[in-house]
Amino acid sequence: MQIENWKLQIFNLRLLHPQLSTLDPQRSTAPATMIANHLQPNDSHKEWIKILSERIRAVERAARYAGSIVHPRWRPSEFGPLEPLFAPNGLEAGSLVEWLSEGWGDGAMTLAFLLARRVLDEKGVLVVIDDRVAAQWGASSELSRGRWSFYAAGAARWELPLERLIVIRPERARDRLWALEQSLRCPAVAAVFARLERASSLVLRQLQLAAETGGTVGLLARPLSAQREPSWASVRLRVEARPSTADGFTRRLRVQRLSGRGVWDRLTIELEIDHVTGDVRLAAELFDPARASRAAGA
Amino acid sequence: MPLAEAQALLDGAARAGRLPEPALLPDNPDADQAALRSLAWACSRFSPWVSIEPSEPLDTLVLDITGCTHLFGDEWAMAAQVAGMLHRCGYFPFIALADTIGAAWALAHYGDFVRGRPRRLESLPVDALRLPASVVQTLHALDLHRISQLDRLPRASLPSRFGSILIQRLDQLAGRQPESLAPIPPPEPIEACRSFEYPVSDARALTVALRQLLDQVLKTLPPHEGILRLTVRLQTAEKKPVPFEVGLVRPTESAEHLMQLLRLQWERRSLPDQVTDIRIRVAQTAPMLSRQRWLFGDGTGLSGVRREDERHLAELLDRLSNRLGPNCVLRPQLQPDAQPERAVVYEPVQTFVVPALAAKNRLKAKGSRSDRKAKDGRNAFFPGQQTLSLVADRPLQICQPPMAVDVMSVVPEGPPLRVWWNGRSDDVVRSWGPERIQTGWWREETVRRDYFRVELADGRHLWLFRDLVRDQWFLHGTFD
Repeated sequence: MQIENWKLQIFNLRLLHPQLSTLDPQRSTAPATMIANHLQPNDSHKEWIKILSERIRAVERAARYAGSIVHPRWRPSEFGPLEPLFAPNGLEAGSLVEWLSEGWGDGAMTLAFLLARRVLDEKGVLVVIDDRVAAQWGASSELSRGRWSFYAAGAARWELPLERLIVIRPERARDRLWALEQSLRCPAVAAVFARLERASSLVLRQLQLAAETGGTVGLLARPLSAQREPSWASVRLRVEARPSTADGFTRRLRVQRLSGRGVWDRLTIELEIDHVTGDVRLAAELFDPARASRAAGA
Repeated sequence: MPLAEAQALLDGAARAGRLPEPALLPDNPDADQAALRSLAWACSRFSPWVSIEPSEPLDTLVLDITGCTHLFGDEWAMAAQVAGMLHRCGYFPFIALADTIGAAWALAHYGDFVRGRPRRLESLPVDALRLPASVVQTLHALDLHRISQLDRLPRASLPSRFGSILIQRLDQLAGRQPESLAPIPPPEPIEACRSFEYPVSDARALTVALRQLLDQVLKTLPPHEGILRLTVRLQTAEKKPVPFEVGLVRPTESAEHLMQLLRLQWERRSLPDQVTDIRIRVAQTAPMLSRQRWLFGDGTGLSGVRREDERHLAELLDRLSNRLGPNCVLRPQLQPDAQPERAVVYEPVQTFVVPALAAKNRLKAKGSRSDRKAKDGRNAFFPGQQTLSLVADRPLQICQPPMAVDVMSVVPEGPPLRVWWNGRSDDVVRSWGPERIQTGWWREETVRRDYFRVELADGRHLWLFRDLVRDQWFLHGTFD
């Protein structure tokens, strides 16, 4: 199944990047032949996929740096406790980060804003597309009737500079996407936060190109159902609230990296956020006797 | 005081940390005059008779407020409103109210308070008489420093010794001689119009005509001025004009940019049929911010913000505001109010950026070489740094008005144990609070609430409060 997905993505890339000549089956290179032959996954195929991915990255890099626009890149270590999620390649300005969650108090937006704070350290402003009416996944009819909106005091609590924050409240659905695309395309904007319940691959590709043009980081909060849809995001993260185990003023979040540029494995970390001091740290792993006995083959 | 001496003093104070780093601005009398004229025009909302006092230095506006004060309460209230308006424009005004222009000028420039009462006119220095510098110098040389000393001299001998100007100014000060006030003429409206022989419905024809009118208007703009607000009225055959208004966050003289913003408005509202004439009018202008392509460095101003980024941001805000409407593009402002829904207000971006840029442009127009207003520089585009007065735990989403929910709490006024929300019930495993907020009694709507941050069994965090007035629980926010 993984191979099938890769085939799809590689052919997509070939269509979008004419430089990917080495992936053309007509030129009879080994990787392309392997894809065309519908082979079943095994170890050697994993090797091929690794080679392919490296080639794609090289071509992408060359294409990206051939022009005059070179966006800054943040190293993984610059994201503090979020470091494992962005390792090993870090995050480049001009990319999308998707935060998949059930919504309503699960902490995904907090994590997105913590990332935005780091991005804002460099320059620019943060744009928040505040359109809760259009994005109410996971809400009952009762909850949907409420007039929910972004609360800037919550952002100030996480030390986001409000003087560099713009809130956009579009009244129509098509204006929402237009405002999002325009904000992503603006070089003076450092990051854009928006909720996106449904979006076609074409729309997401358009947003990704806009972010790449403006050198903007797009932070897209999306429902869990979007996990099945293709994505153009550099990093796709699933956030889940967990019951906290520690005393004090902490909350616990489980973050799973579903996909990332240049990484294949799904990585899961648990974070503890102190909502009094604002500290974010990796949660200490608890000893699980059942898992330990399974690992020991008992 | 010579410039070098002033600089040494200011540098010394800045090094000692008593003053911020000084910014030196070269003198530019033309820009001063233009700024004063625009202020005079702005003050015409207080009085129909506003003039610029011609005495040196040219820094005084004179308002004849006869018959106007009752519109603002009284004289004090009116003075406070004038001061507030000038303060919002970035000035620190000295305001004096008196029966004569001479007395008002003297008090505004040299008046102060002695034991809580204004100093008497006679005790003011002779410099307060709006005299030429040579006459003032002569008076000082003769050891005549106060107006009271002049009053004691024989009146008939004054013109021969100091010229007729001295006696004229003394009489004007005392009201013995009338003084006329020449109001500034209102600025000519910058507008252009075009009438069609037959009603036009074709959007392309209207666009071409509008573009020509824009070019015409831009040619008549004063030098170094750009358009901040533009109104377009399309008169239809049914005699019902359709207005469009374009607002910008930064003055522009680009017809292309203005056309783009108009097109964005037409996407929301269709163009009328049967247009018989078009009239465009420049409603507001501001000094252009001239930019020099950088010869050295990377174009980063002293404020640390790339000037190109400022331009890009202004264009983005123009596009957003004109398509979505100015009330959809907002900037949050923290307020010193304990009630959470009143602690943040969202203001249209234009109301912040336009005055800030106007003030900044004034500095630029005065020839500022350094704009060191913001030391860290990142908030140069949006003024004012905002921080919470205390680190309060607040959610990122709130519901306005708060949503009534059912909550089980065992102890009276105790923490919630179970909450019914979102169509289900959840156990509360942990809670933090209460944070009591009791305020608003002066608004005739007393707010008494106990806020709790609660953690549900699945790890979600909600923000609940118990309304102590109505004894009811509400969901006010979620910690998304």
